[in-house]
Amino acid sequence: MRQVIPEAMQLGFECLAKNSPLEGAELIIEKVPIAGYCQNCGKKFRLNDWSQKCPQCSCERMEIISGKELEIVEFEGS
Amino acid sequence: MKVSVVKNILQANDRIADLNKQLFDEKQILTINVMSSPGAGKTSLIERTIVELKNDYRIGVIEGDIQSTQDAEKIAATEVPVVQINTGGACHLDGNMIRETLGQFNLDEIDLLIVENVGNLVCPAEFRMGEDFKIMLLSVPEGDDKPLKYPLMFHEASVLLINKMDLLPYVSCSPERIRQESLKINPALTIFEISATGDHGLYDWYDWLRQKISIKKMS
Repeated sequence: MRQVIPEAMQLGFECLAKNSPLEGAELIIEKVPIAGYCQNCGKKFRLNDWSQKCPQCSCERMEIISGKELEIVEFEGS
Repeated sequence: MKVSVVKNILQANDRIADLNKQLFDEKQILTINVMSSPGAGKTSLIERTIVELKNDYRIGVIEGDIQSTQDAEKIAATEVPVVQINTGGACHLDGNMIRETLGQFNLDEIDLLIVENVGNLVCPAEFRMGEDFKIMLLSVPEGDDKPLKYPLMFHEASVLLINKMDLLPYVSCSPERIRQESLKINPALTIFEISATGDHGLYDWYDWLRQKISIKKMS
């Protein structure tokens, strides 16, 4: 759900890494699917677009539980 | 060697936004973040809102633009305190920019703080500044496909003002479609159809704002 363009992020990372101790480092971007939780029937489901209706009970009382992440998860090096 | 971090990239901004929010809550200042594309009518709406409410409430304004002080000068003509932020290239305001302007206001004498974000339908939606509500404007000449094209903005906003309704006969745009598509993305969205240069719908907007200011005063 974030407005980050993975290709642009990759290019930015490469440019910044050049001539720095990070030169040659690889940026791995993991896309997190959008998931919702229906506050009415309790169903958890994956959303394919932005329309927020529960596929089980059709109500609109739902909460986004993932898909807004913009996180550095880990780094690996020697 | 693998090091686990799990750190939100926007955490630094969120932390400052939380501090701003704490301060606004403590001083009982209702803060709104007004967002739209360039030319949708943010400044006109803010001018009208000030004229309508300034006898009843103490208002402060933060104007965000990449460059120029034109908007701040317009607001200054309404005789309320205004601070201009020139981002010098950045396409949105963030928590820290707001923080840095706060010293220029007497926060004990403000009931409503209006922040006009940089005109842009994308990035402003990503950055919290400690506001109570995000207010979005979409003008009918921009077209009714915008909720589908820029969903995050519609998802984050609490209020959508469909502006320039007086131009509707001259443009190909269905406010009903804007309404339907926006509510699909954000069922809790409050929508008003207005004309910031006329009177169309503005009284509903003023009433909404008055109500939120009094709730904040009672908190």
